Amino acid sequence: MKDSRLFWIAIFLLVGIKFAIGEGDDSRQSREALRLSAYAPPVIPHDIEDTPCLDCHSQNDMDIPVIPHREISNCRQCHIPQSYVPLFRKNRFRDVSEPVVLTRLYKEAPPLIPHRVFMRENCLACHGKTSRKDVIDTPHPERLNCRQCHIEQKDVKPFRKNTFSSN
Amino acid sequence: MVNPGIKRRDFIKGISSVAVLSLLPTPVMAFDKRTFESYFGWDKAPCRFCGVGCGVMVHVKDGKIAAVVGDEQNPVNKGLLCIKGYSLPGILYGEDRLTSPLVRKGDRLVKASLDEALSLIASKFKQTLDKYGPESIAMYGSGQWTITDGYAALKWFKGGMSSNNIESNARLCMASAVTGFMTTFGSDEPMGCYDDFDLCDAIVLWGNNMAEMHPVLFSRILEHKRQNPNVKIIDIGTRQTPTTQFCDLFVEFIPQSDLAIANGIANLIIKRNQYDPDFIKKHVVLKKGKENIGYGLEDKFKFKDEAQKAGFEEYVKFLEQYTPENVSRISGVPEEKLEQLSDIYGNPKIKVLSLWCMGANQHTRGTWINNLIYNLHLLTGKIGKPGSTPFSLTGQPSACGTVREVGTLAHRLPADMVVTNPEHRAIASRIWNIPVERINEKPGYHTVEMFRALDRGDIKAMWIQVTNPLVTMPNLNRYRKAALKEERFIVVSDVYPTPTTEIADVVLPSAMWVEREGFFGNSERRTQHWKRMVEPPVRDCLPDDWQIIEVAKRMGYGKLFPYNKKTYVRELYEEYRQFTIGTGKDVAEYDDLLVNRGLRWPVVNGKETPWRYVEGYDPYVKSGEGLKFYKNKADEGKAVIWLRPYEPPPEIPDEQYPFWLCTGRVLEHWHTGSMTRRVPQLHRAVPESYVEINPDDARLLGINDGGMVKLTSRRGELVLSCKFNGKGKVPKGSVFVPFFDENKLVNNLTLDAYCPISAQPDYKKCAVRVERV
Repeated sequence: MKDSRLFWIAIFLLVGIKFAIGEGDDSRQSREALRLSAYAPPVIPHDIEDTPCLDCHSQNDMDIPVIPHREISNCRQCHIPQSYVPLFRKNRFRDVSEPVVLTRLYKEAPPLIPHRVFMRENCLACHGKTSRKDVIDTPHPERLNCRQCHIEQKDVKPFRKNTFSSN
Repeated sequence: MVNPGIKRRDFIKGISSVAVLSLLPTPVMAFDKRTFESYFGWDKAPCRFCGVGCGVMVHVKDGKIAAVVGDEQNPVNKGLLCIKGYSLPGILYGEDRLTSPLVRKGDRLVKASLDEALSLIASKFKQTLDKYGPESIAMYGSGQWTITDGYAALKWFKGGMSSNNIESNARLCMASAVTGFMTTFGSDEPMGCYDDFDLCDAIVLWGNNMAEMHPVLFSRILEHKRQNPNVKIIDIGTRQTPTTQFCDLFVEFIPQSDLAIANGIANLIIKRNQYDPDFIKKHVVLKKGKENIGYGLEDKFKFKDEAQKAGFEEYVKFLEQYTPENVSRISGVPEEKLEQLSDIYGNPKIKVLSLWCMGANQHTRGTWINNLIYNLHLLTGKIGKPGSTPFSLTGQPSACGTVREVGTLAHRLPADMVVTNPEHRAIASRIWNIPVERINEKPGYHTVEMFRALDRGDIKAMWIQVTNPLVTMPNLNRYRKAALKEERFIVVSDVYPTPTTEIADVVLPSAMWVEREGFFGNSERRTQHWKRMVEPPVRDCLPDDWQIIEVAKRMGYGKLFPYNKKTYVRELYEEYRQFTIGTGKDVAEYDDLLVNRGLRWPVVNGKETPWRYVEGYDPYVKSGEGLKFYKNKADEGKAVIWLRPYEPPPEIPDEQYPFWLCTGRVLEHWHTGSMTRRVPQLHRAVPESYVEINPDDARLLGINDGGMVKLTSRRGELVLSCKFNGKGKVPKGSVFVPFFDENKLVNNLTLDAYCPISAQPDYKKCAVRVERV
């Protein structure tokens, strides 16, 4: 019991240090190459062809990111192509990481969803085995009704205070 | 125990992929803490960019903006954004942000203290005012001014210095919409709202590339169509755009012939007995104005329309020249398509939403085409019914809230009032507590004439805020030279260096967007407020309204601005609100705006109005009246059908200049790109300007896709790379060039002709030659 607690304290410290230092440059660079900030939609990292976007991006069997949100047909409203030219002017903006620490009601409970769900309604588009490599993979992709256990958290005041604590 | 491993690995090919594996603990904590939302500070704001007025949630971390997401609680966008909205965090942090006032010393701009810069502006404006009078000074503002920026500027100019030379770049984008509304309904701004977008059966776009220019609203329409597959979208345009691919019917027309098309549809509606005589009898009067009204190409051009009453028979007779055959000849639109359009407008079962923006407004007959679209709705009674309305879209975030409602135009005062009306001047002088004589009854220079006056030397001191006219003025070569002339003192307030700051004598660095408190008013009359959330880069970056107040105080107008620096935004807004109370344009109270996602005026007793002029929605319509255009008192609460003819544009392609040139925006860039080009992802999407050309034309000229092309007009030339199949596809005989690129100034080519009634220039048509280089 005591050992296990020490183990967790050590891990906590390590993780704390990791967050204090910041993420590895590689993952940050990869994300910045694809989007301005954690919450912005990704750019189009390939040449644009005449094929409609959803011909490829709605199929699960290809190694291509699947559309995570309801079908909005004007894809280019948010997803824009890129030509790798020099910057117009330099920009100092640096985004912050999305929260990765998983929060639970108590130790054995399933993790709450630590990010906004809007426009990311299809969980497996990112959390499936063959999808995005920079996010957590679900250990149980066969259980399709993700939000039966994992729930979104809105920015609201508690309905009534609760003294429950699993500490 | 579950210990999920979080893998973070690069996923684009070409970038080194180092897997960072970390075992994460499962921290145990109370469940009302450390949720996604409570990780950081979040607050609401309207988007900085277009007139749609999407709500965003801004995420502040360590005193900086770290992210922006769509506000799901905002009824405008319901959480959706376009890529410009998502790019908002990037626009504040361009490395070359202006952080120091600059003052011209010889041919260089050198750093100066804020006090030195403000005092210099005050002394120069005072000298000029004393020596040459109130007509020699000018303020050129913006539809991106917040409401209080515009109000402070208006009060200083019209209430302080007796000068009506205050204009805004909205003259270049919304003036024809204003004159359209004023002449038809006697009051500016739409009767409908965005709710109509979810209720209509047919959407008719008059020269409007909504998929790129108002993308979030267009997605709202597409969603409505997805749920109701019978909904039809009709695109009437001079070029195929990304919008066209979603449309059920594309009606291509020859530039300027929209006037003939609208009259042709009206003619068919009457001939086929599809109009609504009861509605016309109850709610409509008919008028005609002057014809052959010119194009404003000459300096000091003057025009005043004279309205005469007309009868319905006269209207029917007037329309007879617009037979399908004649209209088809003028416009190039097949007769069947005209009939299809008349069926849509004429069928009483179809709720029609007409939408337009720059295609109709940037038009040498901009007021007329606005009137003519209203005619179709008035003729058929398709107005004031949820889902059925004409709806003029706005370009800028506060073209409505600031320029049109506060009235920062040469002839206007707040709440639809004008300087030429003695009663209106009296109302303004009472609220401002000044002698009524202080308000000059003679309208000032409108924008084009203002820059011409700068060229002539009639204007000697000008202050430009939140806009970039040295990229956007038509026939730019002339006005660039004007600005560089001796004895012209030009102040520019901006956040980044632009071609306009280059020609300035004093540059003031500004605080932008959520670095200060503000309000915007969007296309559907919704006033939205945001709080100051982050510090500007340095203390010297003042909000534009406070810059004005500082200078006004230094010139001795302190009495006009007795506000506390901490609460002045609230004080200015509440003072401005007095102008609107009881007028039918009542804006919401400050405190109500703090908690609401904006409110649509008229707001009476805290309740907003989705549909103006409609009983049950608009508190100014009395019980039993049903529908009443109560602001048009001169015509007893009726709206006006105008007899407006087709007249040709001032410049038509000929042998020497055989192509039409149309200019416009692209989705990724806002106006002149001074903000959006500094966001790497947006810049990489559209790095530079280009010309869209029809492949058949290109072949004849020996031009390859991507090759370099020279465009020449009577006013200037420009070399660009060409695109055969860009986002838009132009018909034979015309080319399209976006205007965002300060290194490729297409406005050196455009013509400074304008609508004589609205004084809004036409950026959509002039003649050019195309050559291979």
